Amino acid sequence: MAEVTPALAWYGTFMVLPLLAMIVLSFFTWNSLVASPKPSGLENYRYLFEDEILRTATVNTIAYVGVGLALIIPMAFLLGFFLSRRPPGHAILSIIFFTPWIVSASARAMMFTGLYQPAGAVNSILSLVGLEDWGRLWLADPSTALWAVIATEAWAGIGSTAVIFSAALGRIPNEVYEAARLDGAGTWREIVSIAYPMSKDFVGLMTMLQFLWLFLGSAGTVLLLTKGGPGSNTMTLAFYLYDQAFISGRIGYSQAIAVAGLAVGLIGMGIIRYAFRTKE
Amino acid sequence: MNRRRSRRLRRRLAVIAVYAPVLAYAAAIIVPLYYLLVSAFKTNTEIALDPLGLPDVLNFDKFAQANRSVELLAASGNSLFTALGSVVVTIALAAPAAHGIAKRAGAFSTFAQLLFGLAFLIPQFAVIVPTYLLAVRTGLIQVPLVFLILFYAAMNMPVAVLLLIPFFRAIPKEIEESAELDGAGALARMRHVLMPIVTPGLSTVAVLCFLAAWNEYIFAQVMTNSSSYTVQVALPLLRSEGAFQGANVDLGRLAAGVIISVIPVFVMYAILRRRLIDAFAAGAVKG
Repeated sequence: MAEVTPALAWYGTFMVLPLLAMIVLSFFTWNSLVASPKPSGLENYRYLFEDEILRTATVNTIAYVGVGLALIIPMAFLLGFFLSRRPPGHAILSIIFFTPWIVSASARAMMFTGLYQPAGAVNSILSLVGLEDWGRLWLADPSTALWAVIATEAWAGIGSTAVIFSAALGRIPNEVYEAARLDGAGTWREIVSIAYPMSKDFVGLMTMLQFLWLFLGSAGTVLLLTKGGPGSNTMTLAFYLYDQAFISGRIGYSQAIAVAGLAVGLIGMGIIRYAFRTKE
Repeated sequence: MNRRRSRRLRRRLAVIAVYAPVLAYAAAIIVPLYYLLVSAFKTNTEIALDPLGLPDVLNFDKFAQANRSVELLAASGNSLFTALGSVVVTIALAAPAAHGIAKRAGAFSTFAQLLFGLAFLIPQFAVIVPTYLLAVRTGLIQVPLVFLILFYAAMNMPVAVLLLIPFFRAIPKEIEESAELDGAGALARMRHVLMPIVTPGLSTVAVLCFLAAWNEYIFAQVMTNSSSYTVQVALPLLRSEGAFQGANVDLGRLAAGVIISVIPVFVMYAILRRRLIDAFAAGAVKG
């Protein structure tokens, strides 16, 4: 007990106490660090329902997380299955696919800033193949900004998740696949009837983690790539929290957003848990 | 004969159908990184005219410029200090905790393990404002890097404890008991008997925690100021504000900055790749 308590206490001080403070602060109006917070009951929560930007941020968050997960999880699973069967070149491919995971959000955003900029690689490639008309300011164009941001998440998420899947799928004994092949099962059947059912819990867990990374990581990614713009086209809940607290200085209100975000997060996690439930 | 040939053709087509998207994605990862690497050595005219060509000469001007405009090397020093400091604190607290949980089966151990498992799911970002206020109230905001060390240690604690538990569990009871009979105290047993045995686990955890701390952006962005920027905070300053409205950036300088910021993690990745992936997969399983 004496050995375990310091670690628990440390974690509690920096993670659990702030969580409680967050809930308490959400009932205060506090618009500047030098002012003192004034209790204002449910005022912040009432404002949540009037706030147009919050509504946009919620819709954007659902798109961001939904599209992100729909791109990342199935593709990563298929790619992970492919790698786990140790095809020619799998070692070098695993190295390549895991690389984006070690590139920081900040470095990744700077790389994509270079690719998306007016004279950047994406527009150059388009004009090279005769599609100049498709060229645009990817991050400043309202019709593409959100998708351009999500693409940077998928770029990094698919590969690293795939390599982790392949490490987990590699634990399925080869005999299981051999037996299935004797019964005439093709590759698709192996994926659907063996690999997926045998790793369903793990896929569910990775989906949960990826959900949290997308949901909360969007604060950093959006801050780095677009600052929520153009307009509020790339505003997400996590970035809006950051924006209200540190840019607009509405500390109390930002914590009401955090509580609302926590509720959305718990609902999302509940949905994922339900989707990957295993029959007892 | 004919049928066999058509079957072989079908198999070949199947191989192509599988490898084509896999290789396309691999290219989508490598080509941008390569583009960044070569751009760092070229002038912006060269980048525009010949984006993928190798530079004619190895020109380090852009690296010097990147460093001069946002003091990237000093910022890397800050990051190194913070990351190493947080690794030390994490290990110092997580190793005893993992040992305690591994060796004493009981309600408290099970409960503690469960708590650390759940902690995986408490998003750090949600508490960014209270954490900032904590730094302000305790005055630690005056020494942002020290605060980041303490905070990153807490952030990495759950994964460190969970990853270390199996290493401590694998140590036979007899080894520790005989050290105890020889009169070694708890601290001495930890330092001289247990730590050497779990070194592989410790080094993996240390690298994971180092990477997480080195790469962390948003908390560092909130806590630090121009005299204490970490490398992740300094790097984006290389791009002008106009870039958000669609202006072009000095790509060569930006690329050089990115390369400076990723060198340490690439070196570690090259050395410890296999172990990192296994640790991550195992950690995720146990979460």
